Amino acid sequence: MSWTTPLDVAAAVCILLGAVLTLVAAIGQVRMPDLLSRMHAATKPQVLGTVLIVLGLSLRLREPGVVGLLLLVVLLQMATSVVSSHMVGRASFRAGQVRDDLLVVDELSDEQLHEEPRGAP
Amino acid sequence: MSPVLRTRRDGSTRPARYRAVQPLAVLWLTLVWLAMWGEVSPLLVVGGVLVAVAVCVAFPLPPVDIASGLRPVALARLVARFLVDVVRASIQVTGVVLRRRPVRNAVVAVDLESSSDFVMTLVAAMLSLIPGSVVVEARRSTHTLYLHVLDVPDEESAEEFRRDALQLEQRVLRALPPHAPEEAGA
Amino acid sequence: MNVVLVVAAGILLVAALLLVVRMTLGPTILDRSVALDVLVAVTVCAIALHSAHTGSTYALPVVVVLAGCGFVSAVSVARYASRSDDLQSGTGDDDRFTGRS
Repeated sequence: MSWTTPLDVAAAVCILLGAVLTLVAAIGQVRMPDLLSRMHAATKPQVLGTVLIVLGLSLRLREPGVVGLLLLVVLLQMATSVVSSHMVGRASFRAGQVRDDLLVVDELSDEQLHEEPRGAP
Repeated sequence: MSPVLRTRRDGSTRPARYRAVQPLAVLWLTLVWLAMWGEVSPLLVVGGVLVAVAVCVAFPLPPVDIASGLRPVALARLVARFLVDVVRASIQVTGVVLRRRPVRNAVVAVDLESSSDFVMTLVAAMLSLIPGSVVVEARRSTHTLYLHVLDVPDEESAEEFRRDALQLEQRVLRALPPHAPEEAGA
Repeated sequence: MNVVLVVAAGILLVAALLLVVRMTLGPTILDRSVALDVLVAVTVCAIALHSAHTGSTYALPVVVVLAGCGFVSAVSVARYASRSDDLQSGTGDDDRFTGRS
């Protein structure tokens, strides 16, 4: 538990940055006006925050077996956050919960008036 | 999507099951298995391969029509650009979250050039993590992605974003060139 | 290092509280499921912090499982929310198109 090695310092910086990014994701959840904007906050800073914290952890532990496991965490986090954000965003859009006053261009609603049958959700 | 139907002798139909054990899936599952154990030994490798084959047989998936080949340099460029973009995305969203001004968004349709499902999936996944966009809807028949773009002040920025998305697709296509056109998207 | 870990844990605590606020307020179930998704990610970060604090690795499989399964709730909620909301989307659609003009 000392500050002697540069690796520990790097780990500390990564952990702090990751925590701050996670906080930004949470603030975004509260402050953003509509669900689709919140999806952005839930996807991007959150993924990078988790990745940074996990990176800091692997810098701290420095065991090869752990690094493989944490690489798996990063891959899973990226893959799953994409899927969940897409599913939730699509459900929200289809349910008509989108605030049009925030949209500058909306090419999907224009098109869905003459809509082909949608695929399974 | 639409499963291949197979007719049984009594006339009823059921979706065809994909029996093939795909080597890529086995390799990936074995790697995950080793990562979970956290060490590599011959017994673990053999056990991992057995478990992976069992999983592939128990839960068959349609084969992924990946690409006719990998181009390492282009792939490295794609990955590097992607990592930079992930960091930029977080910074952008942080800026949007923390400033006082209300945010203006857009929903933009992007028609992809390639007709391969694999490229479409990859582009959609990467677009969700890079600045600006979350995929709202994907239409397989026309290969159109509908993206929700954060922080678009006017229509010009929307056009600019569409160009960015198509450039990303070009990078993916350069890294993973798809099969000849008559096979792709069949 | 300990100071850093405590500060990071405090930041994560604030984040978790904000997410609980959003889960309480959230006008629709989709908002809540997104907040829950982020809350799972915060949990992943917290377990990672614990592991960094003690230097032990026994909790890491939990991190992997949470990172892999955390999205299931959001996806399944979205799957059924879209269906139930479509049934009553007549009013919602009217709001949309009159609100725009």
